[in-house]
Amino acid sequence: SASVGAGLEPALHPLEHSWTLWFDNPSGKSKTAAWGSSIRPIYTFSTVEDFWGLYNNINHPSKLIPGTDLHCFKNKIEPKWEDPVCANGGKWTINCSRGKSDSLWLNTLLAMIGEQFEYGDEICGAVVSVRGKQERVAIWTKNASNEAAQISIGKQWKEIVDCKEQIGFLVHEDAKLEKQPKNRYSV
Amino acid sequence: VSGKKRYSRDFLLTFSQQYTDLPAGFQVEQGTESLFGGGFGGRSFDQPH
Repeated sequence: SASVGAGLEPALHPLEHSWTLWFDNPSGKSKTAAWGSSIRPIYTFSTVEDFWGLYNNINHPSKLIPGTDLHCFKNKIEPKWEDPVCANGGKWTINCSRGKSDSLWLNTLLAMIGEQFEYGDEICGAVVSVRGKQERVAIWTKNASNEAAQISIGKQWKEIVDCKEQIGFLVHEDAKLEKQPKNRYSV
Repeated sequence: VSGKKRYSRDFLLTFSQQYTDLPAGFQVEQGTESLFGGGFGGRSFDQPH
């Protein structure tokens, strides 16, 4: 049997989903470029081992250039409002000061890829946005109108990352249409 | 939820130091250098690391 014998690679730990890391590079963005045109997929992983191989070799949010967005989304879902899976969704957001989101980002990723959310099927992915004075991490979900799922995800996320502050859920459609969109839900 | 491949944070963290190389076949593409630490940051793209 192939599983018996010395010197073989240890068994890999498959994830429930394949996940794609996307990078939005501020230096590659021209003022005239359409929004989203600089987002590019970096790598798709589907095992615990490949996740760490990637994570251990990329800069953590505190070391990224302001303007950078790093997305980790389920494979085949693009981190854009226009993606059909995301179109009716929204996002929970946690804000941090500059340099403070590294553990928030990692713990969010581990909870997602490890399927710790009761409503994990509702999750599209997560994004960390590095800006001059702050960093923010958001979890994107599929169906903004599914209140029970959104509330569960928001509450569980706060517990997982030990967030004590109130966080808000913004519907993508509201964010598109309104200049100062209001949170649909808060927990 | 049952039947899913679920892994706790603590379990996942036990692997964090065992897999420190980029996945096999991984290539750093031009324009993504600032994502990668040390060997790539701010240096020419084709510099060995």
